[in-house]
Amino acid sequence: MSGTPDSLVVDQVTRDYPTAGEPLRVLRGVSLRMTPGDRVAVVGPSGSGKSTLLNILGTLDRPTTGSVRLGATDPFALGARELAAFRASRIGFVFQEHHLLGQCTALENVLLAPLARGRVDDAARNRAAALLERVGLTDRAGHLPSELSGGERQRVAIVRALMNEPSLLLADEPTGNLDAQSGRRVGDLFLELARESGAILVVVTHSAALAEQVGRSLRLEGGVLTDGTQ
Amino acid sequence: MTSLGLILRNLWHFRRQNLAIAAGMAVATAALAGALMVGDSVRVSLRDLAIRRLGPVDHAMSTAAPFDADLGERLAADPAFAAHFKRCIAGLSVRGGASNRKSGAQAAQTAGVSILALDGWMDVAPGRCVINRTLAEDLNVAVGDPIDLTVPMLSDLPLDSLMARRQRQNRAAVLRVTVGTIADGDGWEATFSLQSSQRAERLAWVNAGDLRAKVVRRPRGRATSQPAVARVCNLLLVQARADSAGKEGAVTLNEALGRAMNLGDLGLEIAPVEPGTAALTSRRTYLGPGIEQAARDAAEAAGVQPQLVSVYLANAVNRAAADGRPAASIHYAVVAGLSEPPGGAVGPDEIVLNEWAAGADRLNARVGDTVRLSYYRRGPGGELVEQSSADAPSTSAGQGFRVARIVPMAGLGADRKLTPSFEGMTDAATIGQWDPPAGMHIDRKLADEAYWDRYGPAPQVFVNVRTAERLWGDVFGDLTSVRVPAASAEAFAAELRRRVTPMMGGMFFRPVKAQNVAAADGPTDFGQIFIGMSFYLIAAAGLLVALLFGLGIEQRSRQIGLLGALGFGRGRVRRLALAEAAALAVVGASVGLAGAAGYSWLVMAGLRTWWVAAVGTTQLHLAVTPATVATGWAAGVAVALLAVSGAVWRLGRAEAAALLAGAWGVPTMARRRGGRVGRVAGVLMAAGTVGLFVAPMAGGLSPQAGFLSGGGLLLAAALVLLATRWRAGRGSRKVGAAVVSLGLANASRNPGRSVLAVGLLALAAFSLVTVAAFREGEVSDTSRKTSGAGGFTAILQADIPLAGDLNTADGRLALGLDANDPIWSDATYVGMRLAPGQDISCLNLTRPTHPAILGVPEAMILRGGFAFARNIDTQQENRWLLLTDASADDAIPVIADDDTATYLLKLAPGDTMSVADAGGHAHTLRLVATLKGSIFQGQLLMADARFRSLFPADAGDGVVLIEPKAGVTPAGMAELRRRLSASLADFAVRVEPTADRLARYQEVANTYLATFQLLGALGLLLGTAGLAVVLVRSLIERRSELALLAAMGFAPGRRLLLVVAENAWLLLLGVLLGTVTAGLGVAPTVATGAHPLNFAALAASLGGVLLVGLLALVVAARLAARHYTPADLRRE
Repeated sequence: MSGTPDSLVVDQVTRDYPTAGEPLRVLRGVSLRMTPGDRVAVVGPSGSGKSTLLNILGTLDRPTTGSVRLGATDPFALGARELAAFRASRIGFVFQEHHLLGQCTALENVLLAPLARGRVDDAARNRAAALLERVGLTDRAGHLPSELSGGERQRVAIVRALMNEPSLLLADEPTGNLDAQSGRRVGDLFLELARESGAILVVVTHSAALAEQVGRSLRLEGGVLTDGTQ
Repeated sequence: MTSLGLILRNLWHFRRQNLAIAAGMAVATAALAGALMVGDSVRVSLRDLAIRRLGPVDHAMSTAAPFDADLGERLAADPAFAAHFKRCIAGLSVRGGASNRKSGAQAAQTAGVSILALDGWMDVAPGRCVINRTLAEDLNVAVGDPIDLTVPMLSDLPLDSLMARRQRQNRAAVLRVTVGTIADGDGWEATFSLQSSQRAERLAWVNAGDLRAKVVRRPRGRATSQPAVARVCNLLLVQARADSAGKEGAVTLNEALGRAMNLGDLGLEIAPVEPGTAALTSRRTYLGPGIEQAARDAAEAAGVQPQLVSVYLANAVNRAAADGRPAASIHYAVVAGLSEPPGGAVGPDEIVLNEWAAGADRLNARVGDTVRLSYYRRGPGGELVEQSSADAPSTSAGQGFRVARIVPMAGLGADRKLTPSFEGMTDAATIGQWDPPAGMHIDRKLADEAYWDRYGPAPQVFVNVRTAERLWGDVFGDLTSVRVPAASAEAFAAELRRRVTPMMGGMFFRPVKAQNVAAADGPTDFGQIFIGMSFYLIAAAGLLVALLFGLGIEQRSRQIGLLGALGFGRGRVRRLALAEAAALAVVGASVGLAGAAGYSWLVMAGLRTWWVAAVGTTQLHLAVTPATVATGWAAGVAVALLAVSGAVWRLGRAEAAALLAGAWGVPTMARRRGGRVGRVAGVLMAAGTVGLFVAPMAGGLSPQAGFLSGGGLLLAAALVLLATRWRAGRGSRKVGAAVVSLGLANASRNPGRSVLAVGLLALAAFSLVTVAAFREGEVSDTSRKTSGAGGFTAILQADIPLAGDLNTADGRLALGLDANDPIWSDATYVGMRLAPGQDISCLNLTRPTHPAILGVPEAMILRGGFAFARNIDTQQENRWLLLTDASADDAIPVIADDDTATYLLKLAPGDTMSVADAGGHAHTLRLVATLKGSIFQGQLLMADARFRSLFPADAGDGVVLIEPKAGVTPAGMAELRRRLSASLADFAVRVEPTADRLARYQEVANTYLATFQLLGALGLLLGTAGLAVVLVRSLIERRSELALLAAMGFAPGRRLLLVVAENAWLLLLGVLLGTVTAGLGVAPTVATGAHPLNFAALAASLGGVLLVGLLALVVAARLAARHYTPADLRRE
């Protein structure tokens, strides 16, 4: 199933955090425009707001001012239930910590994504199997995360993020916890799958190698995104 | 993969934690369901006891006056009887005393013995008796031992009537028997009682002939209408068929009784008295109010004009001279009040004399002369007091009667048959042989022997019958006979038979088994009591579940954040968590049911043993019903879900990003909003506290209730404000130079958990302080007039009421005492009539349906004393006077003990209840005041005048209050009690210090409180053990943090101090909060001095709480002090 072409438009987004004194402004008027298939790596020093930006793009956090639209939808105008549904169907997340449920097998972790949308049907199971095969984990599908290597866990996380054919794929240091060799392999696989999916890809990374693999980079420093308009 | 699959996977994966949560839920269920099972068990046990005690008896009729056993046979022969009932047995039932015949230290006597004779159902050989184990132990006797049973003598004549024989030898007799069998076990032979109470009766079954021979008095000169001794009984017991055991069956039975009854059963007889005249008379001398009216109506229906007759004995009939002084007198003349005196009707202030009385050598009276009468009346204490017609209220004869006419010595003018039989007088051949009742002084020199010789007791003086009723009418009747023409006697008899009912003779059946079974559903649900007592245990379990569940959520916060990031909506996440919790609740509650059975078994065992003082019986057993099991299970599930609801709700509010980062809790902005809500709620609750503290001043609440509930609300407010402060992060103090300050700051890092821990401990301290404050202390000085004993230091209870005033020489003589013994003058005595009924004190677990009632004499009302708790609106300082106030709706005012009114009767001043009088008629009683901690817990108090109208047959003093005179020592009072007990043994008396009675009541209250304390202690143990588990687990979570401190160079001792400071602060805060708020709550209770606080014991208890808490900390501290490895750092 392929979705309608969805553009990502981020317009003058700011994010403040309240403190005892003046609010701490983490993002300062960030703007970004991407179309399906676009890929960008967001780089910058620690504390520059990269994860905050990713959380806002993934609707896990709200901007203080500014707007975000994915296609025709302003997700922050949706109610809680609609937002959850939006997230389940339009956004895929890959975390540095992979965040697999330790009590579920690799396959079950992958099937969490369609479960979030409603129910798991045969089509979902077939897609999960195909994706796991794609990443070389067919024979590990029935294993718990504790029985997988770091790279294998991250591959499961990547498959999970792609299960619902998201319009927007977000990755927060996807290879951050892997050694260089595993990181490269996972990074290659991730980018390949992302390209095949046609989703908009935003990767936050410290890895110069990964950023280079992604191609286009934007720098976020002091809350300001440079080279942010395409 | 399905939601159910995810839930099941989670349940198994986190099974260790879930096991702990389910265990907490199991404990809560065990306590809740167990308490409900206790309630069921007590209810079922009391019901079983009620059924067992009555054996085959379903309905019972018990009368004050005896009747012929033939009535039972006629009843059984009624056509309706066989269809609904199986058998009817007639018998005798009296209440008396017993003593063994041993001497010295072996001697024993007891009172309150139920003595029964039921030939046909319980056959006992002559000279033998069957007693139950309770009586055997009281008397220290075995089979073959002789015992004496003191029994009352039954009399037809009301004890308060002029001619009643009130002397000791006419009141009680001793039946000597040998113990043939001791009935053990719980069958009806050992436990029979018509009263609803769980307390063991002292029971003696005797041979019917033996008992009749003692209790039946055959007064001299009595009519032959009396039943033969061998037929006398006062009890009918009926066994019903299945469908007739209840109220409807009693109605059917009473209808059959009405058909079976004849006039003789009511002591009535219609017989010729003079040629052409028949008279309705009663062997009870007086016809009685109901029968008098029925006779009037019957005469009217038969078309006859009845001659109503009221006969009395005058001490003197005086003709007044012109100056009002007596000019001439005759003595001991019979006066007859007639509706048609000889010669025709007379006015209310007119009198008729026969020729003899008016004769020259007697009154020398002429028509128009003024005549006054003087005669004896019974005073409030039963003493004979001479009164004059000039002093009689409501007569127009204040100046004397005017002689209307003088009639010849013929017809009514000399009719000895107008006068009923008066034992000792009408049966005497001469006045010289008169044997008048005690207190009636006859100067035989003044008596007219010649008249007696010739005319016997024929009346010499006649007044209007209405005048007679006003002069000497009484509650037990005004008329001594009703005369009708002989030709109309049959018609009159038939009309009368149609109008009289068994209830006029106090004859009516009660569905005693159904009533007692219904009363077994006592006024207070034991299930609710034990839920209340187990409250802390349930709360501790619930809080522990909340703690553990919250901890589990915290541990899984990243997973929960992931679900949110994947698109699981908040509601769905909540439902998943709730479903997991529900699964745990189902398992926990199911396991808890097994614990509930064990808990309730343990409680029932405790009620039979350690706490037997509270329940007074060892007959309680475990009884579990399916409905209770289901309710307990459901309640356990509900409590469990309630416990986790907070965490589940917060779960839905948490932001996915924060959860993914491992930060459990709401975002700061929401915290601030929540903080405002929390502050407002806290302030409102604090304001509510002030309101509750102030409410008693406005009379809305008692000070105790206001302050206690205020204290509880203040505690809740403090916890809410604490939670709000900590959530807002303002509880964190600046981390200063000392590691202790870091520990104190850490105490608020997890506000939810910390508040729960503080709340758990505060509840423990709160309950400890309140229980300690409400424990009854030593009984206060009973010699104080304002004490619960009103200044009376001893109380005498007599099963055979005393017909003599202990304050007077005549009274003592009547009681068979040496009137001149100075010891009797060491005290003042206040006698009170007693209408037997249920003990409505805390010693009786059954519902009060027919309470015992005491008649309060006017002297005691005026005396005042005791301490009042509550009363209806009044300006009177002496609230006893409320008993004599008239009410618009004819409700009779009564006073009750405050605890009785609150917990058993469920009445407040102003409320009403219904009781039946001796004739079974319902009357409304209004509670006008309550007494604080009084000796009258077991009875209602009613003014004596009203008491007599409801219970005319309950004459004599059933209770005597004893007040020592000034200078009498406690040793002197002890000797007085001993002498009273020994000298009045024939009246089956119990004499005890009022302090002992108060202590018995207090023991019940203290037993319940001790049970509450024990259950609270269990809850405290659970709470602190759980706290320890939570502390240990939270430290395990923070191992990396502690490892970091170790890596940074914090020595083990300093890390120990950090952990101790953090948790000791929570411990201290909890205990302080609970103690201070409880202290405020119980301040008025302690201030009254009624409940002196044992500060040492309380301090020890609170110290125990701190000690247990500190022990938990030590375990945690040891964990903190161990060596950490770099691996622990990587866990961050």
